[in-house]
Amino acid sequence: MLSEKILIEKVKRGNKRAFKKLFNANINKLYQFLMQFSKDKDAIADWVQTAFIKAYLNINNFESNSKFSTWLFRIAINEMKSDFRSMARKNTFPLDDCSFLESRAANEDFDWHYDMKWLLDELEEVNKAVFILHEAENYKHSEISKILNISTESSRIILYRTKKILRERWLKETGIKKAKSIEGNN
Amino acid sequence: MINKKNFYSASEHPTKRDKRIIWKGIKNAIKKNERSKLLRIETRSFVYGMITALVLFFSFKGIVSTVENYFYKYQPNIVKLNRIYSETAENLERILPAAELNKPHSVRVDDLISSKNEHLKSLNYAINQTLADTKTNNMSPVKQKILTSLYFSKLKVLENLILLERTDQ
Repeated sequence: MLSEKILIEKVKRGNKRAFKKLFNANINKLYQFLMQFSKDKDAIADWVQTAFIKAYLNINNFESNSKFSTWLFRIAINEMKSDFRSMARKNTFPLDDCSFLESRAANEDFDWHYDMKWLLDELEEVNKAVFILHEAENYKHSEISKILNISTESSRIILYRTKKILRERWLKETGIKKAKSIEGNN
Repeated sequence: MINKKNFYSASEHPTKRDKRIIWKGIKNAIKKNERSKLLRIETRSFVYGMITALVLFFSFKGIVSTVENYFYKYQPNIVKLNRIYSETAENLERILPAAELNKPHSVRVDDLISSKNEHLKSLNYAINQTLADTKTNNMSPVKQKILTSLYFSKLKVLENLILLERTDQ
């Protein structure tokens, strides 16, 4: 496949086939990512579609020094946020609130189990977004900061806190389960 | 880092159908945008074209009248005089219909009007012939003099016709 930069240059000249290639290269991860925030497939299809349309129409504003997917994720997240707002739902993206400056302790090792996934639903959207982008999509904090419009430092802190929350809840859950099974055996 | 396969479930992947529908929507939106963009450009081009045509038209008219004035300025006096006679005759002819209204005239006035009209017709014919000659054989001073006397006669006849009309009222 042609490099992303060449494809973007072609799209800037109005080449729709090049845009289709960008679409094919990015649709899966964007769709999967958005699926973590809503189970409404129509809404997700709508966000994905709008993100790609806006990306195409504003391709000349795209700065080639970052990845296309970073830009695309940012557009999609903004779309999702505005939809959440218009649905009069609680704005769970307190992106400007970075008052929780905790110590920059290094993240402890974090063992992920698929069984833990339901715990993500209990997280705030911004925590969930940072966690998935970093852990599952392998984005750097600098890229996440661009996508979510937060500082790099905030992204690091949010990730640290999210992992801590997940670990604690998981330990609590497994502890309860163990206790129940012991009780059952007795 | 988490292995993606260990994070996303199969049900969270977009199906081929999902992708097809999303792409179709994107394609339609892009097409629609391009069409409206084209329409915007076409409308703009039309307006610019109209403005340019108007500006060109008035510029051309300005140039023509400037050139005409320039040449008129350097024409011989007799040509200028003929032009003035011709314009005056035209203006008098414009008010002439008053003399041809179907209202009762005395027999003498009726005869006079018809004879003057005949005279006018023959003068117009002579003027047109002389003008045609001047157009093909350039403006010779003799032809210009003939034209002057013809215009002068025509003005006299017109004056008589108008006076005749006034005295008969």
